[in-house]
Amino acid sequence: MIAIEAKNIYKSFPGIKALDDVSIAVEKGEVHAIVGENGAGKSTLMKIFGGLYDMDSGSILINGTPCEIKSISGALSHGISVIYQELNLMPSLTIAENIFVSDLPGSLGQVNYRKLNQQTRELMERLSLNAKPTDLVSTLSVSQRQMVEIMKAVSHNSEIIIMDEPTAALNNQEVDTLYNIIHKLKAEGKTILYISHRLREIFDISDRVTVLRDGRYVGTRLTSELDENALVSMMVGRDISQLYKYQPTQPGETVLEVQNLEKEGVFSDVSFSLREGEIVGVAGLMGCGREEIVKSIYGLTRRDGGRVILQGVEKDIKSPSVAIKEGIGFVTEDRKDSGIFALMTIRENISVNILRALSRWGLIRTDMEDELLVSYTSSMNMKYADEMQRIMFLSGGNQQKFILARALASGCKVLIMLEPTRGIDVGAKAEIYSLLSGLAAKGMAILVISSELPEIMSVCYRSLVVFQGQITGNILRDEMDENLIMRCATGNETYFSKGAQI
Amino acid sequence: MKKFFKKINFRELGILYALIILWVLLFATNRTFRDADIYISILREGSILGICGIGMTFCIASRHFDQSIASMMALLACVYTALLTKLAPSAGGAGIFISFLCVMALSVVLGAFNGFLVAKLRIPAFIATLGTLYVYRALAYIVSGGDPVIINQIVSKEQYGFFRTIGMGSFLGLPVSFWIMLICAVTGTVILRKTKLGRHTLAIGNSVSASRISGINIDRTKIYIFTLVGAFVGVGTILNAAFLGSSNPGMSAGYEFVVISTVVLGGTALSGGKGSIFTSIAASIFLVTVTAGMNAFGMDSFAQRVVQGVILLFAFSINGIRAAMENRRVKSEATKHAKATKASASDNG
Repeated sequence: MIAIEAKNIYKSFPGIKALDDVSIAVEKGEVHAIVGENGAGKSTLMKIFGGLYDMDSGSILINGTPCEIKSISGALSHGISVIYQELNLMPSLTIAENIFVSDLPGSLGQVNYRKLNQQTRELMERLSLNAKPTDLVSTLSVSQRQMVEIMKAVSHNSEIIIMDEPTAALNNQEVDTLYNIIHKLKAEGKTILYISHRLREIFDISDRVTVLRDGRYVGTRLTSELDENALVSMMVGRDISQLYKYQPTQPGETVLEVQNLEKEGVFSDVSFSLREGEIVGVAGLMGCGREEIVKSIYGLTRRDGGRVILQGVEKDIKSPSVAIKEGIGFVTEDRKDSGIFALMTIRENISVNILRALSRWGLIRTDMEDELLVSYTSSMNMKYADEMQRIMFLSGGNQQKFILARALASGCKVLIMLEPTRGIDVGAKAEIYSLLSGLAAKGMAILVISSELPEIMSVCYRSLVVFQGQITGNILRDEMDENLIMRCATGNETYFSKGAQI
Repeated sequence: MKKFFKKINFRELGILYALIILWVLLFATNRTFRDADIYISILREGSILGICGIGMTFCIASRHFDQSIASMMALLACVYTALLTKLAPSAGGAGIFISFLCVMALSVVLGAFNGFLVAKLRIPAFIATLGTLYVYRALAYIVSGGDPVIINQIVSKEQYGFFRTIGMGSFLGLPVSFWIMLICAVTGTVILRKTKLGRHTLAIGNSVSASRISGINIDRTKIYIFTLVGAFVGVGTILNAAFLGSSNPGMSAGYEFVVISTVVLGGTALSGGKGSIFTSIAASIFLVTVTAGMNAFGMDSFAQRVVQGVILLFAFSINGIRAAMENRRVKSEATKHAKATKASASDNG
């Protein structure tokens, strides 16, 4: 029996076709995994199921009857709960209040707290979360918050539960707990859609797996009939290692050195260095503090202590404008919100960091702006209609190149890049990797913060690993191994390659 | 020339087309609109409104809001006439010039103060300028003692001729205030399109966090934006005082809403990120034309208010309407695409 079925779903955003004729059928009581690279359309599809997005065309059938899911509450009333990648909890309320916020027990507008906490306690016992119902969410760790999200979904007694990257912030033990929960739910006859890009989990937990690629449906298989290689080749279609070959470079002088960076409760005792021509990865789980570390180096956020030394001279980088002046470039992880200036033209997007240098008598020289645009677009193979095109209409990969070009235009010596290929297709991914290694070959020192281990392993000369705000690993390219990095990232091991400069 | 036209986005000139259609309709249906005088007086009033809208275009493009401008106009006008009362008889032309400079300086200070509240004290612009709306209006009553001032009664006859020229006079067949508006509009457009400040204004309107990463000093830019609002309101006040020939502390009440509406009607989205001074001004002239048209048809003043309110509400709903239309367009294209794919698939099969 089919629990939920999607037929011919189309969904596009400006510049991107997110879903292009996707159909999928999920059997009742199965754990159905949905896999695909970043940008494959998994999350978009789940958000359509969850009522967060409207589809452009297509139909959804639940238990064989067509239905329209117009809103989150609409999805819930159809028996669909979604656990999203981003945490959506209210930090200053208790666990119990968060879980039952849309369905508080009580009468006449008054909340029956005894009943509320009792309900929550039962749920917590069922899912074995170790905390009190009255604990404030703000006091919980990231992984505990994730568990609260899961309880919230379970509390609705939905028949279909969608989990979007539920393990992104969990360590191995917690992943096991999650598996137990999934087994329990499955035994109760619930249907589970499980999204993850960690292949091991797919094989551990799912009955069937559907693969999406670049917004298109690739196929559905029984998990037991697949092995890892077969699944990967379905996912990538093209093998990225054929598109991009690592170019070894010999690191030169130290450009950036940080010593004992510290921010209370976020990171402490962080020291490392970066040399000319070196691409260094920073791996770690969600919430480990690595974004905060690099943002404090760039002057975006404050820190409590530590020194930043650029080419042998200590610098006080109070703000991004100082960082730009001192030769640090920064590319954000959130292209849509803090990367592009959506409604501005591509020309205005590329020049915004260096307007002073492009001005004469206070007026921006359009001819110099155009030169800048042409020089970067031709050398970085960017596609656009004309210089007055708004950047929001470009594809994700092209937008990313423009943001990279903007950082480079200010003549940086150090480049900090967060999630360099998040949400862009495989071809553009390979191009970004080649651009990075080309920059390194010319002597740029590059820090790549990435949640995708294969990415770090394919572009980086060495990689740092961060766990709970501390560096637990410094691994040279030859010794990089997905398991080793994960062990360091979950605090189960510290590993420092011999002979590697940290 | 070709390049110049290429730069104009004709799809965003809706308000200009609306203005032309309105003029044609009125020309066809009402005798008053077959006389050049009515257009001259529309331009005269529209220019004053337009000048006030220039600064507001920056403000809204940066995703901010200034509600205090009507109170600011009243305060500036009262200070202006108070200074004229003191200086014009004793210091003559120099006195008038000094009054003018003082008002301009004060307008910059009042605007910068709004900016300071928003940028440095982190008060949301909506609230901060609501506060100064009250403060500036109250100051206007204090400065004037609550009484209106008639410029004709405080300056000499020759001096009054000068005010008449600015307020009601013409140059090359068009009102003086129109020419001043043109100078202001070109200045504003150059600032918006060609300077760091203009780019930073749009950048902040698009994304504050991306602006921060790009090293933009956000606080300073905000202060400059509100200062610009003040400066253009200053120019508008001086023209308005000359046009009316008087000041009073209760004047221009509700004008902020009209100015904000012209900017929005001109296509600058309340959600920020883009803006055009040219279309803001076209919208000012449009609004003044609507009022003139209703007067010409003898519509009673309460009914006029209803029409004005509806137009303003329409202006504010444009974004919603546009988004809905855009959504439908995307959807219908997607459906078409889906059908085409299916058709070609069945052809192959």
